[in-house]
Amino acid sequence: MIERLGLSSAADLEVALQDLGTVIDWPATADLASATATRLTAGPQSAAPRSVARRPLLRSLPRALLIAATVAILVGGVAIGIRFGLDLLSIDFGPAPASPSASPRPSASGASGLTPGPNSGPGVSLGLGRTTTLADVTASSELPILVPGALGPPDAVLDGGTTLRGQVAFIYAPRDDLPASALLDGAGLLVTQARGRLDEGLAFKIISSGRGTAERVTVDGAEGYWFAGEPHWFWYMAPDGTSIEDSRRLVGNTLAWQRGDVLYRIEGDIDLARALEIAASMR
Amino acid sequence: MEGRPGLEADLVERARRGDVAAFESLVRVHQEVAVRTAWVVSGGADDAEDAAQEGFVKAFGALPRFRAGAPFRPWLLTIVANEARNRRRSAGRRDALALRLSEDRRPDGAAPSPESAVLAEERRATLLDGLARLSDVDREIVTLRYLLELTEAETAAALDVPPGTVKSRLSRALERLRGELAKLESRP
Repeated sequence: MIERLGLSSAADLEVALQDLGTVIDWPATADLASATATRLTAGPQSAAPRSVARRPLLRSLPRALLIAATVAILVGGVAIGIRFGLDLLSIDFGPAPASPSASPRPSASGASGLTPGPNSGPGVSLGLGRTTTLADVTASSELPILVPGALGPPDAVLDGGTTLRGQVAFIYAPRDDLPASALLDGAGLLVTQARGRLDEGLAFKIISSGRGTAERVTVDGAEGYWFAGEPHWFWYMAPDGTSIEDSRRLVGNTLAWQRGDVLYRIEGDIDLARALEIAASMR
Repeated sequence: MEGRPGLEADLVERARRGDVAAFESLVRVHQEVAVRTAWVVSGGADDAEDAAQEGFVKAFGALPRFRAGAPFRPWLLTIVANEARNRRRSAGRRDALALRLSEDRRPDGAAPSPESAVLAEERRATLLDGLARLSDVDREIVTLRYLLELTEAETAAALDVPPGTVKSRLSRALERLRGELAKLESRP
């Protein structure tokens, strides 16, 4: 049984335990940051802990907070925008665009599709999974893998496996139009694809983790966000509705957009126009 | 924490100078792992959030003693975990950590086939069964290090033990887990 379940080696067991951690019924987390700030701002008289709601009410808090954050952006936008550096005037909260049609799978031709990528090199140390090939990941992944035609095949392909919820990452080495990014371990561009989605609440959470800005954009007909400014942490919503903190690393300029239930991200030291150009070429 | 030294160091420095908004940003990023850590070391207590919040407030007060340039998350987890442990001791609680699968989880979208998804579910259930058979100490360290994915340094901080102790305890705990899985395999 142990062998059949893929638990025979120490490494397999560790990976399986990490996977188990993604489906454990962890306690829900309320917005302790705001509560803590309120206590600290109020001074010593509020030193007594402010009791937080217990289960089952707690389970509904994250969603309520996201809704509250969204409402706060919509209603109190300017003040919050100043506080968090959110460029609210550039965000269009209009109706979401129609769901895009299914994207065709890319051709797996090209050198990167035939041979495994390097085990070392810019970006490979970011902890984005095991090195694989474009051909293999296109064949094995459930995702409709898209490749940016404007850039060609990636220089490295990383399969996040179950630990990273099936995320697939493409790394492009630095070149004239893709400057090396310190946040990407010297890589020029990172493209990731995973089941998930963003919403206004999460966009708010992302920019509130730093001093960046968020701008709502349309990417080839799909809804998306452009995060820029200071590096920030990234969150997204998994298909099961849980909020995923991409806590392994900081991200810089990031274009994130959604097609169906897949969330795509382009990260690098590039501007929005270039990011949109690359995104629009993904087929 | 790995990969985020620039912004984190800036936020910590601003918080050390009394910038509550900077500290709020730090808490927002680390609150989830902090609450989960408090929950694990308290044996699954309902007041893990209260413990974490109290830990955050104490951490803000202790920031002047934070060593500049040191990693922030292990330091924060030390304070939060201490708070959770102290609450547990004060209340005289000896509850064992009971892990269970989330009820609202969906089938594994990353699995390449329905068969793989079924296998993944069986693997998770078996592992959970094996973990439940471990001692509280073993289950706690395995949960922190692998399920919560803390680093060894963070695990050591959460348990208030030297990093070397984490290595040896983990090694023994995994060995015992393998033993429990083998017993499950031979179960009629």
